[in-house]
Amino acid sequence: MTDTISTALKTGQMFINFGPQHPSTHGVLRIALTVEGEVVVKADPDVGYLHRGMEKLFEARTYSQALILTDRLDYVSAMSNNLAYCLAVERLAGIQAPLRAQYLRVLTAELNRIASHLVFFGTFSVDMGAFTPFLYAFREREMILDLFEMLCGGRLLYSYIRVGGVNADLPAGWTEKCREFITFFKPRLKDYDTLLSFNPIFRDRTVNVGRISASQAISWGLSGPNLRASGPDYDVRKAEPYCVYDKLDFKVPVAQAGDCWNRYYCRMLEMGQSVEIALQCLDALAAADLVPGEIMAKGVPKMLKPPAGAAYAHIEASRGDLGFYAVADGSLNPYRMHVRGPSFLNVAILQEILTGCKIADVVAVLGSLDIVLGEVDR
Amino acid sequence: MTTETIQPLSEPVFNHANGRLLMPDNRYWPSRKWESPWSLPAYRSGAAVLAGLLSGAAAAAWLVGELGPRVTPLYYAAGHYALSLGVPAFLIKIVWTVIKAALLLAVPLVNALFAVWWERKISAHIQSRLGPMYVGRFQGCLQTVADGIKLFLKEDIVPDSADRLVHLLAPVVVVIPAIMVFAPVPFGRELIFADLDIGTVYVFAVGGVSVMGVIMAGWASGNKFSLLGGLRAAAQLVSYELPRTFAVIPVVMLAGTLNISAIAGFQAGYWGGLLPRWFIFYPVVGQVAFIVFLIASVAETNRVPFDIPEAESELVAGFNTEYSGMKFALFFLSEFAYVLLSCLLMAAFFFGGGEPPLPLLGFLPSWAWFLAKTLTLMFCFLWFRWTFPRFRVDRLMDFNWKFLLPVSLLNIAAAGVLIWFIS
Amino acid sequence: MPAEEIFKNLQASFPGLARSGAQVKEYPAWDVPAGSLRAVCDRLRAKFSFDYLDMVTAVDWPASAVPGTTPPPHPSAGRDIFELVYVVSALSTGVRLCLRCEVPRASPSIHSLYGIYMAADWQEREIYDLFGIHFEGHPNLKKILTPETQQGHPLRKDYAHVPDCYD
Repeated sequence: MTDTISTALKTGQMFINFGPQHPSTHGVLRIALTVEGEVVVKADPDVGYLHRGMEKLFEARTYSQALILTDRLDYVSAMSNNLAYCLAVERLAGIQAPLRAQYLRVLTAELNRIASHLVFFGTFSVDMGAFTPFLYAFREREMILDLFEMLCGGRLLYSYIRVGGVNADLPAGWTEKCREFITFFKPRLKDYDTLLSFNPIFRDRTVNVGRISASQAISWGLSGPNLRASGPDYDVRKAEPYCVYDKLDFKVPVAQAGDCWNRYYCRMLEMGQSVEIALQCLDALAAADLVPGEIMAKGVPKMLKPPAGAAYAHIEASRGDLGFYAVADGSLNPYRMHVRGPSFLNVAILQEILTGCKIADVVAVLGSLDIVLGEVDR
Repeated sequence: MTTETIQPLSEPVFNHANGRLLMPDNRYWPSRKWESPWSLPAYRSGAAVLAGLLSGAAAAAWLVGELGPRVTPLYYAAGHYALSLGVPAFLIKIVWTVIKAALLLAVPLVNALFAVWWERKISAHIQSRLGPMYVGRFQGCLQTVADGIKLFLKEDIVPDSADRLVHLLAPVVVVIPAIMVFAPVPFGRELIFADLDIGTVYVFAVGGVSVMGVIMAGWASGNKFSLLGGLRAAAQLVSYELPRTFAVIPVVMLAGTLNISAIAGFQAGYWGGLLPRWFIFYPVVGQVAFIVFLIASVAETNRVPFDIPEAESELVAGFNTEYSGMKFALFFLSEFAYVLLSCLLMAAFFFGGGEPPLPLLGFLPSWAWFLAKTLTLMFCFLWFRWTFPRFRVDRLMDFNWKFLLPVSLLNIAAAGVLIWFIS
Repeated sequence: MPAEEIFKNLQASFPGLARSGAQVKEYPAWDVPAGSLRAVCDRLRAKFSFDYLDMVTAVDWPASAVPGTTPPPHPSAGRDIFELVYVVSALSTGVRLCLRCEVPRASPSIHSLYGIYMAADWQEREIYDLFGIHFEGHPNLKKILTPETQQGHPLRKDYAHVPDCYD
């Protein structure tokens, strides 16, 4: 414990370890806080508790085997990880997935975005002391996980999006159940607004807390709702559309204030937009011109050997701009596969943001950044 | 254990088109049927059971009748019988006091038994789940008994760096006032342990002693986080006592007495034969006083949204982290005892405790009405806990000193104006 | 301003800048000499509003990957270098570039981009931790992902694991 005395008020500085185990359910993260009274003077996030050496593991596996590993990066929204990886490898190998597969990819990615933001909503409200929204969020999430289980057999980790397409087509009755879910879910967003978003106590704890200016956000490499809540209108789905996002009509919520509440509310609005995208995908899949069953590109070999070269592909995952930098050397295994994890950069900004905050605000700021340690540590 | 057999899930359907399993149809999924809960048979039967229970309870209460007026004749009859047997008079008084003390002790215990179960059921149903279901035949009603037995059997851990004597005494200092404070509180007409003329002052004074126990608990745990938590809790408790007391002063001014049962009795009668003369219906003064008292009571009992001292998801641990087993159970017990106390006080001060809301509902005895009002208010306490997020510590204090206290002081002035207006 | 014009503009001041032989699909990739990387990035940010650093990563190209085998058929293979890849973008215009630098494997060192892009802070620490490339001017170049007991730099191709307390 470090003890420095400031002469003016005879106060001492105290060293507190926030983590690596703490009840705010974000995983194993340690923030070494130096506090003076109630105010944080220095914050030093310490990551690496979940480091599994994934980038080294990628090099020891074939491209299909490496796909399984990508699920475990951001384990809350596994479809997005698969999608980014497959886009990178497809760029390397020059494969183009068929249109139906692309719609399926977008549909599952957006449903996964809803599921991931529901986890954020639930855990953020528990951090703030309201326990009920957590259970409501997970009730909705159960329905999405049931849909995914019907589709590919997995509830949390899917490996559904494969290089060249997707693994399986929609089973009979899936579209009806998906529409049922959407009909159930849409009014719930209004419920959440009444319950939590505009609750004065909640706003009291999150408005004007943890402000990130636009230039700070851009310089520190934030992405996703963390960046958009501070002002810059950057969404990979609009800036560099991948799959069929250029054919879909949706809005991207952008705010100006850059505080915890705006980051939270951007995610709530994004859930509503994901629902719209999902409906458009369902309509497109039901249309006659997409041949059912055409879910995998033709001629993708079982043992994929992309020609030597490098590729970078990035998508708008639930947490931000998830990118894969893949280097192939003509063999079965990737030569180098680097994951640009959005949560890794989102945690880095804590060094600057937390100074000047109160201890109780640390929980609010950390929760509003919505990190998953699997992506931070890889 | 339930006696009904557990139904196996139906066989999942295998979709031969793509080799995947379809979801079995009997799995619970909210669907179009969710639009109205009345379409679910379980909901209808649950509502019927609840209606049956309530009407059964009302009928039983009506049959039992008023309890209060029967106590004094019973005491005199037993006293005369004992005197005739040659027992000295002072011994009769002592035995009677001991009997009353034992019943007084039973109040928070029985309350804990019921309130904990009720809180778990309410929290569960608000969160769209079921809560305790197995222990005890009906909806897990004996769950608290099982939890009490478990806490009783737990190992009592005292940290090494703790001050053993203070660690032992802290729960005692918290719990004893929590039991004593029920003495002047009426449970019905003439159903009161000690009819003190300074009942209001007694209640608030004795309740304040528990704060000492909280500080002792924070200190005795031997780690700086518990100490900080204990000091914060004490600061919160002491600060919120002020608006709480000031909110009751208009009631005392209007009733002209500090005796709680007299205040409750003052509210008998109806305006225009229809609106009960409850203090909450007094224009502005009554409503403001009630709301201030309600908020301050929620803060006094460390319930959400004011539960920073107990919050687990905050950085600083609460003052009762180092307590296990029976000592922890005593802290828990005292929290629910104070919740019950606040509800009883609100029922007595603002809702005319014991008086029926409409003249034609007078067939139910006063203790039944008292109980009904108390339970409704307790439901509000439990409801708040599972709806609201938590205040930040400095905002909590701001709220008290910059809002509640000035409002309660202005309310006293308004009460003076009202009294001048009435007379 | 499209990437080609920026390239011509920069090549005037930095003659070492060249279009990269090794493509990075699907972005324009330029080779930047390691010494002038910081100046190039400074110019990109100041003049062409490339304010967003997407990614910094490194690839290990040892002289021979595994003793006794031929290096893989990649243009950079067998050259005994670390290849550093920077992806920078201008959010307002949407242009995205890849900058490639090469540092010798024997004494890998390059100037840090800390101060120009704060996103480089932790990414460079990660590269230092996993590859051993030293970033000059970085105020806090410490290990970030691997545990304190870790010896060596795991992502190097010639990394031999020393059994430690976790094995």
